[in-house]
Amino acid sequence: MTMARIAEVIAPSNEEGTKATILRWYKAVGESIRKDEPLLELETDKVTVEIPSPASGELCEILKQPDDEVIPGQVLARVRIASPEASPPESALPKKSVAGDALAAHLASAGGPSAPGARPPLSPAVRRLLDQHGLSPAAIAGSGQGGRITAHDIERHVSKALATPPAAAASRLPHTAIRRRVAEHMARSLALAPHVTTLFEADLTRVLAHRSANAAAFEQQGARLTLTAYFVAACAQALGAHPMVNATYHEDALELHADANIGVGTALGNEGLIVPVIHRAQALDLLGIARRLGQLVGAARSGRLAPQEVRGGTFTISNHGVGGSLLAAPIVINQPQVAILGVGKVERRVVAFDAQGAEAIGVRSKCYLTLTIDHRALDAFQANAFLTHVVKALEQWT
Amino acid sequence: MAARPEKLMPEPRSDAPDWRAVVRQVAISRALDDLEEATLVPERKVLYQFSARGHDVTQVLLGSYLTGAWDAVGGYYRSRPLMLTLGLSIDEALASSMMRTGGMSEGRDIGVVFNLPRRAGACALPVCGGVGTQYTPAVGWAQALRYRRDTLGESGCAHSIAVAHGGDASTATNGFWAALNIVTTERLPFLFFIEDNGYGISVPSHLQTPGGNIARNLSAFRGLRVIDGDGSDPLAAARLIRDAVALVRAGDGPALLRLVVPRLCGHSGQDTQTYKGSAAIAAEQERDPWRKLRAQIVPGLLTSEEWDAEVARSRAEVAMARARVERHSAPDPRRVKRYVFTEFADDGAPEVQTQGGLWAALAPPPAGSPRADSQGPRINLVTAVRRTLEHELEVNPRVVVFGEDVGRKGGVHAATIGLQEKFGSARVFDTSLSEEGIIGRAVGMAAAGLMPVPEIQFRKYADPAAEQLNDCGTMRWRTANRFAAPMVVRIPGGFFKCGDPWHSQSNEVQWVHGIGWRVAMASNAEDAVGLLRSALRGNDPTIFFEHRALLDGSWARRPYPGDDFVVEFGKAKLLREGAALTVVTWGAMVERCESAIQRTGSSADLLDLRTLSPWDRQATLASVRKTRRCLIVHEDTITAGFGAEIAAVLAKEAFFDLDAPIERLAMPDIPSPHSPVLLDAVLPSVEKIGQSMLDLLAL
Repeated sequence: MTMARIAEVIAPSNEEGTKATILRWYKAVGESIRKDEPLLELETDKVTVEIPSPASGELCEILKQPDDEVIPGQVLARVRIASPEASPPESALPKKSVAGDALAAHLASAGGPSAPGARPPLSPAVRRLLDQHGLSPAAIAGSGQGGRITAHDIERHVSKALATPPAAAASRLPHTAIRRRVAEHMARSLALAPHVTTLFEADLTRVLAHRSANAAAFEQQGARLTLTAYFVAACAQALGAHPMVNATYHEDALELHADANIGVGTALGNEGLIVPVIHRAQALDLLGIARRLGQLVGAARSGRLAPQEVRGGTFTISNHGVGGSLLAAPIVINQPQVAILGVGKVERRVVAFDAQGAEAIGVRSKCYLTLTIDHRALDAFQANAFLTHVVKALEQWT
Repeated sequence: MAARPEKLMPEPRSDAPDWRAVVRQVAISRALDDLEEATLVPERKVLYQFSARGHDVTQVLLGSYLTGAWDAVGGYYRSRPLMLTLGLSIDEALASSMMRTGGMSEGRDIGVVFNLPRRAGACALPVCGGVGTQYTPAVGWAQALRYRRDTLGESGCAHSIAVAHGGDASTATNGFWAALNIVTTERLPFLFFIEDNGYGISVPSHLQTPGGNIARNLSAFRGLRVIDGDGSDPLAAARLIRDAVALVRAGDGPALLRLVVPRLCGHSGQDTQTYKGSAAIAAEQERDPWRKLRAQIVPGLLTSEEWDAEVARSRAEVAMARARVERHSAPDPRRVKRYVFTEFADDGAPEVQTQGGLWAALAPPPAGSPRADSQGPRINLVTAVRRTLEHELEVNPRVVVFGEDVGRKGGVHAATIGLQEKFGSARVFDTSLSEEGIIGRAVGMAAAGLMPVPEIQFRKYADPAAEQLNDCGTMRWRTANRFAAPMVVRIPGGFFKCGDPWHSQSNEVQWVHGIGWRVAMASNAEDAVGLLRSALRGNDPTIFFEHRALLDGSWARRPYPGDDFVVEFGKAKLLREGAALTVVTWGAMVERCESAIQRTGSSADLLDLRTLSPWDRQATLASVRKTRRCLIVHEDTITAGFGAEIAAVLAKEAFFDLDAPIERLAMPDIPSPHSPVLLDAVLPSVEKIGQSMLDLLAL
């Protein structure tokens, strides 16, 4: 218990032996009070007497209630004395009252349809303002009683006209919900994870050959065979061999996921971007992947994706090359994952290779692959190892 | 202004008058009367004309005995011979009645409304047009003489006296009786000099007092020495006058000298006296003291040639004076509004009146500071008033506080408790129950260089004092700044826990409309201190309103702002700031307006005017120009209450800024009702004020 100093509030002696009763307390127990600030009022037969506080501090005890009679010398209350710093004096400045809210409310509630035919008269202030600004009363909506134009109405009209920009200036596109979500996600992801990107190149000769040979047969089985399917399959494989890339970073540990739930970034034109997820991609063959991908992309494009089809992803592929981009870095990681693969445009490129001991030049179908990692969770070692695996899987496709 | 000539009346040797000088002076007076009646009035150069024929000899004799350094006379419209004897020059007299510059009022008042500021001897207190007003101011002078002698130790005042000069009809007035009671109960050095010509215009004196002889009727009046005599017997009258003056100078209290004289003219130039028969007029002519004087002193004291020579010389002097005064310019209309209140030159120096108040007698006291030095717990307004009075009494020995019950009891509102005990009954004292007397003697005290602080116990009871209050207010203007009577009249009023037509009147607008009064309406203890001190150190008469509900009201309490604190008159205080409405108010309504603003959440400027004369037009206009809407709230009844003046000024000066009609909220046009149920229904309440605000904002 602290050794606080207590000041007692004592009832004063009465004039001419008149009785005194407590009239009212200005403060309640627990409230702070300053020295000399009025604390309570006593009523006698003749006058009311104001008792100021003997000290600054906190009113900690009230011993007499209103209407109680008090005898001179009685303790009426106790004040726990505060530390030496005095509280600042009350400001003597005029107080600002509640601002335009009350006015606006009244103006709004008072505005109503004017009497049929009769226009409320214009006040002197209104006439002058109309004149000054070259306005006609017909141009102003009246918010006053009975539809009266008030001076405030004109002032508002004038300042709005000043604030409205000219027709040639830029217009504004309100955000869609998707845009907001994407914006929020991208900013958060970048702020959260240190993004580092590594770049590889893949030779797609064998993938393309496989596709040509098998596309018709896949089609017959209800699966449109796209290049994306091959990337999903290659990634599923590589994630199996490099489980640290299929993970979620936590403060204290890296959570390795059992399944490779691979999300595929799907553009919805101007509407934005959505990432449907192929769950347990490691358990699907190329046909399975192609079929599932077809379903998901179709559903995405027609806005019919179910919630669980966009949740639970552990890895994401961004097929940015479809739009013509050769390379993108970084690609923003899809939280709470630790890596994302970007696939650039497939191009015919001149390559140098070794032909039976001699240098030769050829033309091959190639694309750049970028892997952006969360450098909290992964280093270049894992990133390069993973990408090496992906490239190998693609380049050795059978 | 023409220089006043050497006093015509040297110290009387032995006790006989200088008859030659008397003859000369009476001849001048008669020549003036003749000139005005025969020439100036027909030429319309004098419009209001009052001769003194028949009264002149005794007045000149009286004047010859008023040689005290601080003697004063309160006269009336027929006192010109007395005034001439005291030093009024012929030029000044004529310039006054001919309404030229160089007179006693610069054309602002009638020629016979005399005022003679003191130079080296007796002075004449400013006469007023109302009969009977001369008495109590002269009483105040007498009381001031005693105060200055006994309390301030000014020995020069010893043996000086005050004289009230009036006719027989004036002994019926309120002022006469108030004066009679005061000078006898206080034993003052005071002389009633009543010249009884038997008429008050046309009303015979037996309708003024039974038997027409005030002296006989007062012969048993305790404390009053009464002398009765024949004013048309100059030698006898001279002795009586000498004895009466000596009696009063001896210091044993007042005296009344009645001299019967004939009025050898009409009441004024307009009066043809048809109510007197020709026989009566002839009989009066027989009693002409001028003729009697000649018979009495020629050839015994003066030869016939000497007499004629004096008369001729006097007539010539008057003729020459007239010629000079004819060349005086007419007064300048551009100056006619000047000197209602103290005026200041460009460098800030005040143009102090020649006589009256501290500033003229000594110097302006310390101006004080507008910065509050607030210490200690809050005090209520009545305590703040008491403390301020106490301090000013302490630092200024010329402050005197008086009124009914202010001495022993400490005031019925407790405003002066302890002050008589501390400062003595010469400085803080009870008065008789006559408000006319209270204010009248304050006028005389102010003329004598004191700062009187009279109390009118309740606002309504200022009614009997209205004449003295009005005349005090106009004094500076009508004497063209020769005289002023600064004082602080404390007036409690307004509602309290109940109302009633007698104790709860507000009606402060009466003194705003009245000329020459400053009016203070403090809403709280701090402003009360500042305004009261400002008035006590000021140079203009001030009404200091003490609202009864604020005397102990909780909201009005403030810490004492210090012994130096003053509030400038004409400066409103902005208590709250807002954008949509201006609320202008004062006194007990300030608290209510503040509550209404808080409760309604209105965005409003709240202006506490604090003083109504002058009032802060500039702040009010600036606020209304900003907010475009105005609500005026006052306790006084609505028709022609001060709010009407504010509204008129706003309607003119801020017409093009107004977005709503100006609203006034006040008591209806009824006296204050006694029952609290009725009172609460008619006073502007917080609810009514709030509703008014909302209605204005909704327009």
